[in-house]
Amino acid sequence: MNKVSMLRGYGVAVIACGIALLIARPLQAESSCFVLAVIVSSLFGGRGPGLLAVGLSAIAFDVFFLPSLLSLSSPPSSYLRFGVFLVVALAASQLIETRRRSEEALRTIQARLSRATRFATVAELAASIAHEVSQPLSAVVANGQACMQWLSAKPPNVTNAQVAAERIVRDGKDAGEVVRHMRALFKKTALDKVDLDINDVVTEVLRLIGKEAVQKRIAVETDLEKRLPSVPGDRVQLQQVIFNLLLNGIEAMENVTDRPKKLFICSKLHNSDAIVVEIRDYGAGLADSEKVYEAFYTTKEKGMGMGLSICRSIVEAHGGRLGTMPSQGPGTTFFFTLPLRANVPT
Amino acid sequence: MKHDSPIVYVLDDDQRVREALSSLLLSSGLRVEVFASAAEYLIFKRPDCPSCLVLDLELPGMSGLELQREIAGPDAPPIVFVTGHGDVPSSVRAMKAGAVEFLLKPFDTHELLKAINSAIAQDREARVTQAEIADLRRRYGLLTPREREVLPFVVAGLLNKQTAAELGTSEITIQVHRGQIMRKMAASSLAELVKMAGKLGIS
Repeated sequence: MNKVSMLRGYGVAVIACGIALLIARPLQAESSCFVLAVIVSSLFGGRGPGLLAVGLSAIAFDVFFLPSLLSLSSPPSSYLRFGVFLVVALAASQLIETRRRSEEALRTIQARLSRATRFATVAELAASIAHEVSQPLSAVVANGQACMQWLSAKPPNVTNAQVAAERIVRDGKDAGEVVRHMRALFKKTALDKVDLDINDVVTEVLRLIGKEAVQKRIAVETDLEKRLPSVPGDRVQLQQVIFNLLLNGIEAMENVTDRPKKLFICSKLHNSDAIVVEIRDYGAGLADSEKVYEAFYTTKEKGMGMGLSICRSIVEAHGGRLGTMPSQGPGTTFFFTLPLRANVPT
Repeated sequence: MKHDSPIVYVLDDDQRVREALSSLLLSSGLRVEVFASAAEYLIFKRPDCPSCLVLDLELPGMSGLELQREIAGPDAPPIVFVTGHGDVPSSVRAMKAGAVEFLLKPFDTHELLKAINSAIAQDREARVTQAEIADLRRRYGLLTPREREVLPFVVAGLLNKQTAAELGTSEITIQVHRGQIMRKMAASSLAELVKMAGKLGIS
């Protein structure tokens, strides 16, 4: 790939000099045209093509514009021109090199940041999961102890012991369920599409986020359309999208005091060929509804501005769209669509 | 069950935890009342017996710490906190506000029972002291204004003669007041009266 772009750079140098050659005479501005060609080549291809352009223009000047004999009689201007071209080529290629290097650095930082965001989300998820597990586990331990105490009572209270034992089984299963989900969350990052009931996915995320909402005094309302057709999708990645949108909603309502804090999630069929999920908060609203998807754009004090851009790329990888829609009253409504199987590009 | 048998209030928003704790405490011979929210607890009319409150830190509506602040006072039962996410600041706040113990879920049942028992013992002790003080107050209420004036001099160890001089009255009168004070306060000796006065904050 690097070779291709290098070749392209040299090609551009040749073409630029050719064009300069063609238009230089009619325009009566040989030097300007060739300087331009040198600049274009250097900016496009870097130092190599820039120097090639300098060489080509030197030849062009010698061969086409000045009688060859004259070139010998006026070496100072010729050398001067050559020198200027050389300096221009080096300066321009240096400029482009610096820029390329900073872009490279930026890309590295970006990659590192997106990894960091993933870890941040994972850490948050881990905290929720720890809580989700410790709840049923506490119940299991307490029920187990109770069960033993009921049995060792005199006379033993078998009925109560049995109830306690049944609860142990039930709560143990609950904890196992959480662990199963956790495993699914960390399994893989490549798109792993299976047929999904999107309502299940939403419900799972709501379970994870429930405590957070309770803590922040946020009411969560849902309107999930029953019997939606399944969509092909990556469960974990879609969970991440929903998780992110809900967290954004919760954070958007951080400073709301004059109205009830509410998150509203609904799912429905969209034009009979896709499912749309809408997530509405009653928070501060968005100043710029397109800019939020740009990487590094953030309205949060501690945000990195990666969440929504990652969400959008996940939804687009599913052949869907992620956007905002005008909502009535305060807050923001995000939606994303997921096409049903028939419309998914293969 | 005896009227005096202790009662444990369990406040947790997770039904599984409520059920489990209720079974555990019942099987340990304790009376239990469970609540799903602070509001439920606040409207409950607590019977007059030793008790303690097992309180979840994170609750819908009023949080555990907020409830602790809200009910703080001599009547409030000692609190044992249990929590899923135990962060240092909230545990410090809870303990500073007088919590008996701060346990992390999943908790050790023995530790929990130990904390509950020590909380109940603490409450029982506090209730005895409180009853004593209430009784002393009631008795102090029987004294006439003049007797209340005399009391500080008596407990300060002044002789009747000296007290009479201070208050500008006769020694006989003070002697009568003194007899009344001892009788009404049901003090068998001056030493006991001094102790009572100390508990009432009179010197």
